[in-house]
Amino acid sequence: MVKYPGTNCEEETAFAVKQVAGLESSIVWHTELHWRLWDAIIIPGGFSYGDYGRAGLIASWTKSIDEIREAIDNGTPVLGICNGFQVLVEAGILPGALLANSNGSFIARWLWLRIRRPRGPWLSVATESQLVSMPIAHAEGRYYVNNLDEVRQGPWIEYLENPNGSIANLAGVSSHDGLVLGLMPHPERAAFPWQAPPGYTAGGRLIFESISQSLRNGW
Amino acid sequence: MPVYRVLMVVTNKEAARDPEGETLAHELRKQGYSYIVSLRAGKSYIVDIEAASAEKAILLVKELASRSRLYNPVVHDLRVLLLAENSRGKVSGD
Repeated sequence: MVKYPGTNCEEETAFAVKQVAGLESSIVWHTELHWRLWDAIIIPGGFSYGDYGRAGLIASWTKSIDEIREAIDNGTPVLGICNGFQVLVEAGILPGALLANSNGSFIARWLWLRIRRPRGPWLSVATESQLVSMPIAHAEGRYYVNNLDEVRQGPWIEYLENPNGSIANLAGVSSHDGLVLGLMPHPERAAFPWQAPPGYTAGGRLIFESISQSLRNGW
Repeated sequence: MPVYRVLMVVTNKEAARDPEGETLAHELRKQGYSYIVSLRAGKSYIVDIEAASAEKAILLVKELASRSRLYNPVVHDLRVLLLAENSRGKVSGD
């Protein structure tokens, strides 16, 4: 887990990696990140650098992004959750942009998602069009991209009910091979049945079970 | 009545700390933009205003900013600039 000043979901994400994926996980301050030491990298949610400028902007200027780029070039899986997704988009590692929600509000709620064309290390145990539920909690989650066909060459995650005005109901996008995944919903807040309110299930397990499977057996 | 396009910028007063601007300036200097002396963050609004003259449009925006508290004189500086004017009422410019 890469931590920037203002990252605040790293503990529960590390916990989910340990408990669900059965993998060791550590929280690493962004200046201390050396990609060669890690099998996979997660940028957790939060408010890095206070969302100054734009959510994820300042974190995308840090040297940790050079490390992450090199990690990706060498086949290391990278996941960005919520603010982590915003960081990956601001860095240009994933395409598009994340704008203020179309209703002008911070939205915190559970919702249902559909996994499309799953492949790569983060979705290796998912099936096509699988439905999962997770919560979102963000003010800047309205995904926009110029070229939808480009995004749809990789796996993607879509909202069944669009909460924020994202183009094509996109909740998460990926590199073509699925090595890099970014999503606004919080899998770590949906990793255990006791986290899910009535009517929802722990859909975030899918991500952690996938990376567990992928790092052990390939993808 | 003609329409004027007016830019309204609200920033913290010079005396009030601006953590967002200070952080951005600091991080940008670290990126090598060493020529940045200071940077202030704020909010800007582009308002199309019906008014008899450009001067009147600026006056109306200042009044709007103060009365509505989009600008709080206790802590903020307000800058109001004319962006475009068109006597036929059609807004142009940018």
